[in-house]
Amino acid sequence: MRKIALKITCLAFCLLFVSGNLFAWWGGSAQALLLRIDAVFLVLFEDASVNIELGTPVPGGLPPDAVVNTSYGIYYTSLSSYKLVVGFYDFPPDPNLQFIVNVEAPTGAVSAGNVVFTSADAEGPAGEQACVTSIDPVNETGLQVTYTLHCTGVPAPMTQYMTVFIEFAVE
Amino acid sequence: MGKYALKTACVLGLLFIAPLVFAADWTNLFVDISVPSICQIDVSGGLTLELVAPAAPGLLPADDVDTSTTYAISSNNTAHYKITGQVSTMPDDRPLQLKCTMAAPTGATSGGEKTWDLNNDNGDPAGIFDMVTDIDATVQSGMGITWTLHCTAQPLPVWKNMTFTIQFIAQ
Repeated sequence: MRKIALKITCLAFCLLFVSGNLFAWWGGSAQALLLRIDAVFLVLFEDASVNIELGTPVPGGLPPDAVVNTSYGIYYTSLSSYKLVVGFYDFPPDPNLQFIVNVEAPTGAVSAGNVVFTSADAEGPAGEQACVTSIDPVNETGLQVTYTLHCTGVPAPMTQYMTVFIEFAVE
Repeated sequence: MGKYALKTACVLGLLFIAPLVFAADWTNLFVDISVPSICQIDVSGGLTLELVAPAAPGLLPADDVDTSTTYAISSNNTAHYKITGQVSTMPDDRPLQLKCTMAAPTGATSGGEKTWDLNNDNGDPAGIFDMVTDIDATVQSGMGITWTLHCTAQPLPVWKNMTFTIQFIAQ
């Protein structure tokens, strides 16, 4: 009986001693962190506007093509497959005009080359066409966009403001 | 020998009688006061660090800085203590840096900004840092924790829950 009492007493003293040190060694806390980065789809023309004007034809001929270059930048991080499409708002209604767009592909992607728009099919989202496909995550600027205004007949005189849009679409 | 025996008997007799004489007037109790080593630390809550799209292609997402959380400590240790910090497994293959600065309580020394490089190959924790050192006995709260999420290149999308573990230990 005495031995048991002695053991219990010793154990109590040991626990008392150890508990003080446990407090010292186990002072800690934890903080939850959430790192969040969402996919980014960013494409931006680097010029606010461009002006395209047909030149004067030689007698008996059509006006020569008018060519204008501008550029765009792209920041893209999606892991899914997306492409770039190009389209127009307020496309000139003249059936003798074609608008040809060539969009340079960023590294790793594929350009569709010359994409042709006419008044019959160019207007709005319904008329948009793919211009760059197979885009990998990329962050580039200074990629060239070439607009060519081409006549298939004699166009009527006019001045037309139109909007070109480039946007991402699911591939 | 007889004298000593008599004196001893008298002293013992007085010791025996004294409590009886004063029993009604006072009593005593031996109280064993034990104050354990106190080493408590707690953070105010979790947070989200998010990198959003840059303003334009060609740029990188701006740093996300969070100063919304604080920590509190209670310590009765006169010897110097310190706070160490460690983050849990980080996302692989992301060009990210996680930086943390813990303000020091009065009299202590902040370790300054500590940086974990998240672009390691195996995703293991990058290390344990001394966030605050030279902490003496103190009770303080509201010390700021500043978190910064920084990217060194274009980061791919990721949502990652992590844990920042701090320990309050002897230096």
